[in-house]
Amino acid sequence: MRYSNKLIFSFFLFFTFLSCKKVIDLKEEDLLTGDVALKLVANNEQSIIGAYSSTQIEMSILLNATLSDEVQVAEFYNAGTTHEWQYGSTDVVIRDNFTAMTPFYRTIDRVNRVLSSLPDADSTRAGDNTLRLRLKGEALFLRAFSHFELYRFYAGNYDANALAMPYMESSPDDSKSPQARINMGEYFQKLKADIAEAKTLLPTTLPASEAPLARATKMAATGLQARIALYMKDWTNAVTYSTEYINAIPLSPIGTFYKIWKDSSNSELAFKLPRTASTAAATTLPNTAIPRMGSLFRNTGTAANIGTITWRPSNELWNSYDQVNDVRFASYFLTEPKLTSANRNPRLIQKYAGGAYGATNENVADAKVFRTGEMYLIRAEARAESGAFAGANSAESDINALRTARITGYTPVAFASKQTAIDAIILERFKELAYEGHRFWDLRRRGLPVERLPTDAPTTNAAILPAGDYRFLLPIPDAEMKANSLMVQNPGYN
Amino acid sequence: MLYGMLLRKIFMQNQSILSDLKVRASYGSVPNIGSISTGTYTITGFTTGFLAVTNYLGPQVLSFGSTPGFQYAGSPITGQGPATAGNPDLEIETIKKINIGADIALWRNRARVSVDVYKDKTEDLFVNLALPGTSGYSVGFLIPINAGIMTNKGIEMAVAVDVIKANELELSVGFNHAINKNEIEDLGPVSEIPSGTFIIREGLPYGSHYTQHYLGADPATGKPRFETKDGKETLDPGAAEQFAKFGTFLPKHVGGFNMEFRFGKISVNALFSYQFEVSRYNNIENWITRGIAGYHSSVNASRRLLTQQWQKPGDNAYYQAPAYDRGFNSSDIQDAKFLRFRNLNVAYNIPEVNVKGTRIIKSARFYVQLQNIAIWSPWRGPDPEDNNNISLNEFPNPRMFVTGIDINF
Repeated sequence: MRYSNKLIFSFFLFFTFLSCKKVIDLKEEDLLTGDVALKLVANNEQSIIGAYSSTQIEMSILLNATLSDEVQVAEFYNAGTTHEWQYGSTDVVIRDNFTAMTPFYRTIDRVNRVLSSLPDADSTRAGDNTLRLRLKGEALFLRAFSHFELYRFYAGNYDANALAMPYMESSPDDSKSPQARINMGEYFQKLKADIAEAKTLLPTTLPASEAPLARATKMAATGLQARIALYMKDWTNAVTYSTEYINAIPLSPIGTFYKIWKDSSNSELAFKLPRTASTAAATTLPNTAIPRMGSLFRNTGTAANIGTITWRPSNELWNSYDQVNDVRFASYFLTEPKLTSANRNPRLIQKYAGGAYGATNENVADAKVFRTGEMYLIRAEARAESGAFAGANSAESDINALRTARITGYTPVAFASKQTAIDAIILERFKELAYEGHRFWDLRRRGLPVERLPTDAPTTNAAILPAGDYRFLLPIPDAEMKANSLMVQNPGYN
Repeated sequence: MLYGMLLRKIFMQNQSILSDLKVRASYGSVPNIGSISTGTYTITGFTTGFLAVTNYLGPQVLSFGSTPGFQYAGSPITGQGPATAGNPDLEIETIKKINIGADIALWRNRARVSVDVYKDKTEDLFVNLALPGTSGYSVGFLIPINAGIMTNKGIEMAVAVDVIKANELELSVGFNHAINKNEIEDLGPVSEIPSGTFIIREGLPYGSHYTQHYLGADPATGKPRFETKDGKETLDPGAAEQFAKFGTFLPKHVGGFNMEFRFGKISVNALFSYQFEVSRYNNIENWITRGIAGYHSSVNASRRLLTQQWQKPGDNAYYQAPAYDRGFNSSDIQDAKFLRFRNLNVAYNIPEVNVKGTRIIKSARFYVQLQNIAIWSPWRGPDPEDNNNISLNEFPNPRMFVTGIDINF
């Protein structure tokens, strides 16, 4: 090429390098984005179902068991940092792929989106406008429930001026925006407002076409109100709400108590989260799989080879029951002869064992959220704290009523003082609500230590967690501390 | 090119050492969308391959989904919920490149040297930002954002020398080396973005490892010792600080050298590669040296635990007592430098094959080639050479033995 041609040619080349930015800035029309996805009331119902799917109590069951004295180490032990109270904010076991902040704030966000689009959603079917109110009630119920669980995990005993967690009342405009923790006074005010409003909107009973107790009802809201009142030390309301629940849903007959745990009876329950064998299927972010309830304590296996047992009932819990007459002992535990013949320790937690060994539904059990047994114990504690520890309509009568429904041939006892009553109530909660996600937090709110028997503790250092120790509050996960500049870590943690 | 002609006129008239000298420079701006993580549209039914349609809009808008994770066993209604968080402010990354180089040939092309000095500046760098839990996705859910400016500055040089060039004997050696310095210059409003096991921090290279500093076992109790923020030691994992002083998985020095040798009809080529100033996490090493009962019942532990694990008070050991867990931290970061004998090729040139005057085979070559023959490295895993920061169950570069014959008819 001649020299001048080269110059002209390179001149043209230069211009082709100038780009057109407008060509690549396109608007997309077909994507299912926020405003389209929640257009109809039917869509909002779908989102509420999506919110239920993110709600779980499995982690509170596991952590309350392993952090307290309900279990002892069995055949596979790699949870030393949690079981022995050595966790920090970066601990792998509680770093929150699934612990509490992720699932509950996820539920909260989903219901917040529904709450903001519900007033303008189009009704396309008959009954949609009534459904609209019910969906609002369900959204507020799930929001209150999730925030209360977050409080139990990460905030301490009730004190209006202490820090609770961020209370999300709407979906953030910018997902990246940091949220601050608020005081418990304000937090519980919002909690109580949400649950009170939810209660007016929720149905009394679910339609017969729906799975029983799988969605919120007025009694579910009442159960939550009773629990909240207990943690707030609001004894009057605790008695009111638990009485309301007890009057509507009585205790199970003693002969059919075991059926509750086989998922063949719904007595005592106001709300449960049904689980199937496929609930634990691997899911993609932002969802996380919910483990089978029984698998928290024992892996699935086969009839010939029972799965590895990770946690066994502690001797302390095992020995606290009347093993002959207490129906709870037979429902919650099992001495498995197949394990003895395989030279393994035969004691098993049977409460959530689901189907037979090796069956598709082995270890599959529904998550039971509110029970009359818990309501009796709430009422007993509230009455004892208010001074009514003996006589009619007192802690004494409640404990006796509960025990009569659990122990054949039970003779009622009398409580000589408030302290005797409280001690008996705490022990009864230990026995009644074993592996239901209450023990660790009961000890925390009563100011008691975790005391394991020497035969239960894995090492001598892991036998006692002193009362009021900073480890009674879980650390805010390190990933959250880094992502949220306004988050405040719990005391004692880095 | 023009400049080369000029130089030839000016410099090359009266000397015989430099046989060619080219100086070149270039400047350009390249857009890059490749590093953003995208999904695919389900239009064609294909998620990979050329029929898959990449969804570049996905990272920019909030979209809903109803895949298995949103389903609830308590209702037959299909659940739905937000599946991806959107970032509507997302821009395409731009890389501004400047390159100055020179190609020098010496001694009638017997030696060839090529040197390049470059600076690449990536603007609107794609970084995956972790969202707080209150965003409603999950704690640490990642969304792509444009974080700031990253620079890659370096020198690349290659030297090739024909040492012997005779009819029957030839020997050439070559050597190349590249030094690349990667630095995060500016991250806008923040000064660092932690991302799991690595951190993006101003002043450090991309991919700097970010974890606690493990110091060994405490002689008195066997508990793991960690370094705190003020440089002291602690036995409480909750008080351990995370540091970014363990290097990065992007090597600073990469290079190789090769040799080509021909004697008559036999030729031998050998190629070596190396890299240094690079470190990676060795996840397998963590499993086999974790030292606690749970891991021992799942994997075969390393023999090193017999001698280097704390057993009784007074022991000065690296690995902690079996009763305590040390987690995944700096004890698992290893130097990934290596020298690899990458290629050895021995060939025999078969001469022309004539049968009664007609040429059947014009030329043929029989060769034996070995690849990835040997590696010398302090890395204790299967293969230090990879482009990620954690080595976990990765299949190593395979050692191959190939033999063949090329025939030209």
